[in-house]
Amino acid sequence: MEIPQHVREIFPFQSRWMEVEGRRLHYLDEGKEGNKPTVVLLHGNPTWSFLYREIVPRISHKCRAVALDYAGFGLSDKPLNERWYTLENHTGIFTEFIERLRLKKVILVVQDWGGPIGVGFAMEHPDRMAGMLIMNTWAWPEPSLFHASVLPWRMMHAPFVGAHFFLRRNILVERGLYLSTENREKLKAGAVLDGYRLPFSSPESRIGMLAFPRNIPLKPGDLNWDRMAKMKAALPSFRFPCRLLWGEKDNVFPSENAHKFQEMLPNCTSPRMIPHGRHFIQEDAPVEIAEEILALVDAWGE
Amino acid sequence: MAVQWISKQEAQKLGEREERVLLEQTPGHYPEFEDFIGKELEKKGGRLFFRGVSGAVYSVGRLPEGDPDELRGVEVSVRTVAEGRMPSAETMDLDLWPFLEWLMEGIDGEWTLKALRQTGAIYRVPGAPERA
Repeated sequence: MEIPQHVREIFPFQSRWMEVEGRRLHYLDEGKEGNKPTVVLLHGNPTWSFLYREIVPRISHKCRAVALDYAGFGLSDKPLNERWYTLENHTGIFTEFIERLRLKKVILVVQDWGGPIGVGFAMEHPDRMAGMLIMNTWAWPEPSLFHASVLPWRMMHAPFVGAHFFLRRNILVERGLYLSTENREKLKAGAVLDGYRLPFSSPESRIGMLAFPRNIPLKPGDLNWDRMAKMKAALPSFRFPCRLLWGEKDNVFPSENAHKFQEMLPNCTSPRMIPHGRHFIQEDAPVEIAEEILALVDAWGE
Repeated sequence: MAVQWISKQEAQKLGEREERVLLEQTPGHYPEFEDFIGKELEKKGGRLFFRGVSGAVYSVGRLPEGDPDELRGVEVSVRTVAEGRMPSAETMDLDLWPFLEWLMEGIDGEWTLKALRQTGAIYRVPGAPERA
């Protein structure tokens, strides 16, 4: 897939590729490792490494920064079978990706689905963890009020409705990004919205987007309930430094989530609240995010 | 607008070629949807036919076994005569809206027409009211 020039101007990174479990994955790998841990940036739904385009240049002078597109997202291969898209498969591919890059120490930066994927990795590989920046996400089985509500969340991905809204109409990109970003003028600019649209040009390319909401457990027995209960139980054992940055105007993951993380994590700073920030906090506060990442990088080894 | 169901015989008169326009791979994600559509398909011999607002004809049925991509689920296809042109994507989106409303009316419970319309309005889906 060719990146058009006007998108390339705001996303000027070299594309890199790795085949994992028979799927070709796209990722960014900027900066140099030196004696610092590698910063690995995890996106959510419906985004890709493009989400971190304003953050990577702000940190790559001090560390190596890697941003993966999950299978089904960005420029990576997109399985057609919706049943492939499970949290377990996403986490497995991410883990294999980290192994294959031979990253010994990582600082994970997580938001939205990056949270469960990153926390799942950290839980299984605590020896690899040098830090984590947690933003607008969750890592426990109990759903947020937003996720438990029929209007609009459960309705928009319900059977047939989801196939129409997500796959045919691409509502998360065309409308969801706009509604969940404070800096809407930026999103209206052609290159930014075109960048988000670029890898999701057909209904078949959007199956991963529809599968993510269907992976959110609502009650015991649901897919991922037990997996996320294990994450919740593991959080108090995370000894590596964690920082929290939170968009306060997020109606998906409210500020209470930030305080819940703080209470459960033993080595965590107070949340840095971004009063104007919404769900896609990378669009609303790239400077502040870069500051928080560099604080973790600079503190390494002290 | 209520969905306009037609008979198989009428559908066959209006079109021969089918092209998939919507695929729901996990109709059982919320089991009440699978139960409802399963019963409706069973009542009509495994395939439903409706005419969209535009006049185009659609069929609803399970994916046949042996799909090359091993996909399962329920598909909606548009039927056209062999040399006929497909309706535009926007036209088909409008045609599919009454089908979604029919699902809500049939499933009921927490899945209400009002919630569908409000969600459609928020995300500006064709066919949904501008404000619900």
